[in-house]
Amino acid sequence: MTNENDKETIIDPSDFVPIKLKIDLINTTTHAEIRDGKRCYDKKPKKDSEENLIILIAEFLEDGLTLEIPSKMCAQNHHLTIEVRTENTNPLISFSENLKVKSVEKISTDSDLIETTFIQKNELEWDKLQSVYSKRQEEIRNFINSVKGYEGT
Amino acid sequence: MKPASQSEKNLALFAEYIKEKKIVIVDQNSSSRVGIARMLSNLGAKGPNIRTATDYEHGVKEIELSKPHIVVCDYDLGNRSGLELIQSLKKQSPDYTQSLFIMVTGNSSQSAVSQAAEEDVDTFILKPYTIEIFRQCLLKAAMSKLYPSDYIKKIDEGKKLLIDLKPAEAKAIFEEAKTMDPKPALACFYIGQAEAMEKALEQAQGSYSQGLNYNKIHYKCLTGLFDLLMEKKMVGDAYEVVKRISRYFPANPQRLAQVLRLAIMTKSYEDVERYYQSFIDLDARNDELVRYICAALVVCGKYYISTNNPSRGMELFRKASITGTGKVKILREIIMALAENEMLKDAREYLSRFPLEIQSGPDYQAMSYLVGSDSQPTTLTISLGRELVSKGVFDPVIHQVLIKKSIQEGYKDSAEELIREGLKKWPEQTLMFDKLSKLLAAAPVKSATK
Repeated sequence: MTNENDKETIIDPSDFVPIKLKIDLINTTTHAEIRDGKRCYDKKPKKDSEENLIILIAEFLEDGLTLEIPSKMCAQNHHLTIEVRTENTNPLISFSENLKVKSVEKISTDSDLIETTFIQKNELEWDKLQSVYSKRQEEIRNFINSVKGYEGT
Repeated sequence: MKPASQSEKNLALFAEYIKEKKIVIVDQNSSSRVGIARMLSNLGAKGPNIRTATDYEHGVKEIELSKPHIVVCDYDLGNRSGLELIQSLKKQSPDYTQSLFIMVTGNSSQSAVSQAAEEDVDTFILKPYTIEIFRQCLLKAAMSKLYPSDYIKKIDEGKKLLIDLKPAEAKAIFEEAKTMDPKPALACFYIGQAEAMEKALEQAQGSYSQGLNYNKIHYKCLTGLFDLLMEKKMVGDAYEVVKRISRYFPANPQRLAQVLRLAIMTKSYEDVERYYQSFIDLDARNDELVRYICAALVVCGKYYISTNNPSRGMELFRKASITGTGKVKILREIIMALAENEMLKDAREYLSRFPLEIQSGPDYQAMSYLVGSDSQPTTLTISLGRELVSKGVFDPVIHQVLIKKSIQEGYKDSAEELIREGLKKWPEQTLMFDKLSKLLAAAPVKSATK
């Protein structure tokens, strides 16, 4: 018995790749930056900077973002510019946004959780980014429901 | 006053449900632990009932300690997967069927999602999330657990009968359930289970297939059908099913091993080569998968060499040795196959690929002895083999060569003794020693045994 599926492979490398985001952060109040995972000042990498510093979007808020960032990067009321780009979506999404720090919470020795609000939200780009996640969330929900065979999630 | 909407009612029900529940959150990421705890708190959970853990080991301890009703965890917990915690929850939860297992993770890959689906997680929430999405996913999972549909209630009723070993009664209940859902794949699966229990394998196969007609990726029907086909020794059909499972549910090394084994059993050698092409594109390859793919390449390579296609066979050996760099078992298999086919020059080349630190070990000595055995006088080979054995280098390959050469030289007693010794030392190699016994029996009698 042969059918089209026989041509497929059981190992599809794309199955193993999550959505990849690259985020750089610039504190426009202090000119400190996290770029390519390193601390920079006035666009120049600091010599003693730690490697692979990570910036994570923890939550999408209605008028801002919750971010996990390396510690000592900003304080309340500082202004930030966040540069976001996806590395493996189709089409690729790339944009920057200005944010204001609403609160800073120390969550470990190395990182802070900050709540930010958009100074001027780029609705179109944010919607594009959020829809990448919401679309995938919907796919996941449908897949898990199909696997279970009933509406569960 | 405005009447409460359905979602408000659900929120109130959920708040009532969660207020006394113990919760464990396992996430390496501190912002996630904080954010999820805050969110659950806002939905009605009590602060003291929420415990957090930073890694798998602490997660297991927390689950053992607090016996939670709800576990929220990330997929990636260092070297472990959060999915492994589901077993801890099953062990510790007072009533697992009422527990919630929630995955909140930034790993959006299909591999992570399908593994979570296989493990029956209640919901899979993608990070970063909006508060609304988090709330919706959580509420839906909790509501379907707390207030299952009539269809699911009926299936649960039948499952209890199956557990009590009453397949006929169970089947009647599942047949009823089948009428209660437009796509009753789950009911079909349990009908198949009841039939399999009654040893009505043909009917069970039909029920699983019917379930798959309703839902082509129904995991339970797919695995049920696969197990059944294997039981019926229908290897070709089982291979088709396991390929289908692997397409939808990637990254399960055990299943990939099954696929590769069945590809070999059904002589689908071209498939193995294709799987290898995809395998090399993977970013993350675990050791288990590397072992399986190398072993499959070697088996295919042997097949091509034995069917007069040495260049293709050599190419597969090359791939296997590169992929399994330093894996002695793979190198051994290649060298033995080449020696068997009198490709000694190539075998020597593979000998040089043994890692330096292993070159004084028994594996290397055995392979080196095998490769040299046909390029030197038989008597020298025999004396070198005896020397190795007397030094305590025991390897079935050394015995094999020694026996063959002893037969060749007419040392029948010595060959017989070596066969006896080999069978005692390596009972798993009985087949090989039996062949050598036959060779010995067929050998011409020389004037005097030495």
